[in-house]
Amino acid sequence: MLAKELVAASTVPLVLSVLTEGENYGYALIQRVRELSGGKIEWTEGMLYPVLHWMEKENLIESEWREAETGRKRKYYRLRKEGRKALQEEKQQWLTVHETLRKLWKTQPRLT
Amino acid sequence: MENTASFDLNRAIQNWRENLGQSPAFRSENLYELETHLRDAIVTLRGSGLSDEEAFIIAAKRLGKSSHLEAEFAKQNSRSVWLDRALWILLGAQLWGLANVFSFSLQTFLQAALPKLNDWLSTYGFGRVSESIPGQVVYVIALPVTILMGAKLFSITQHWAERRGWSPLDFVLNRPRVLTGVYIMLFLAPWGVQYGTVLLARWFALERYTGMSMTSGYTFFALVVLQMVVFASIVMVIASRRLRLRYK
Repeated sequence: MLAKELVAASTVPLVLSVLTEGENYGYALIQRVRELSGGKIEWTEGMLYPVLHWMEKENLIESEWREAETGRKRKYYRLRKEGRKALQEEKQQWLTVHETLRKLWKTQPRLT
Repeated sequence: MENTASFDLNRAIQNWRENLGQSPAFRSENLYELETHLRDAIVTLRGSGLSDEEAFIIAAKRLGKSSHLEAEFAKQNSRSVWLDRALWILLGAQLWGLANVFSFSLQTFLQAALPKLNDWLSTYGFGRVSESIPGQVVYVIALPVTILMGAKLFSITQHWAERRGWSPLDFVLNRPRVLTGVYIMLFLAPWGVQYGTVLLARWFALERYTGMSMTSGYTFFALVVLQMVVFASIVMVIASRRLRLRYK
């Protein structure tokens, strides 16, 4: 189980990274992260939405309501240009931290 | 053992949404999005073989406690939260003023009526009430009793109406014009209480009554009307904006 501070800090880069695969909606974003992490990253699902709304206010992502196959409307999110730029910055920062820790812990696998 | 009470999933989701919707932290759009998420999660869990009830319980738990969700959404919808608070502050101030005026009017009326009351009590062989008891004692007792009785009356009314499927509070709060009308009534009510007390004092011929003077002049009257118009306008604007933000 990851520390909640780490889960919180990684939410924005994770969301931005998943959205590079294509537009998506809240529930599917959570399922994708759960799948990629092998169930190790568990978000309190409702908490994702305030983060998504904040990211939208910061112009990192944009949203659109569309009708889903169930007949209900769903809010789909996609990456904006500013979001791609922010993702590059996040990537640099996480890679820096990873490289530093890797040298200290002398571990082989690289984060690519 | 057979479960005689079948689980109504749509009803459970509706109750869950209404419960969240009590808070000004959630806009209508937020509630819709959370409900869509809940329904998607329930579909997935039912696909794993869970019953409607089990899927609903797990999906709702995974979404998070309503208090935590409220706290996070309130950060995003702070404007809506503060408009709600401003409205309650304005209404609360008027209600407090009304309770104060009522208690003070009761104090001044009883103080003036005490000699006549004692004469009446003596006529029928009862003991006299001490006239040295400060009038403020009446005020100090009357104020909390008035507030508690008002709160109880409101609670009974709300409970009675909810059993019939509607909420008077929601009805008033979500209709800016009705809310403004209620506010104006609350604003004028203290004047009504004082005027009523004056009339009662005159009816009982209480020469010692020293409550509201009925000769305050047109300037004072104009200032009161201006104050009422200003505050009622503020209530109307806040209530309209609150409604637009919450139900956008």
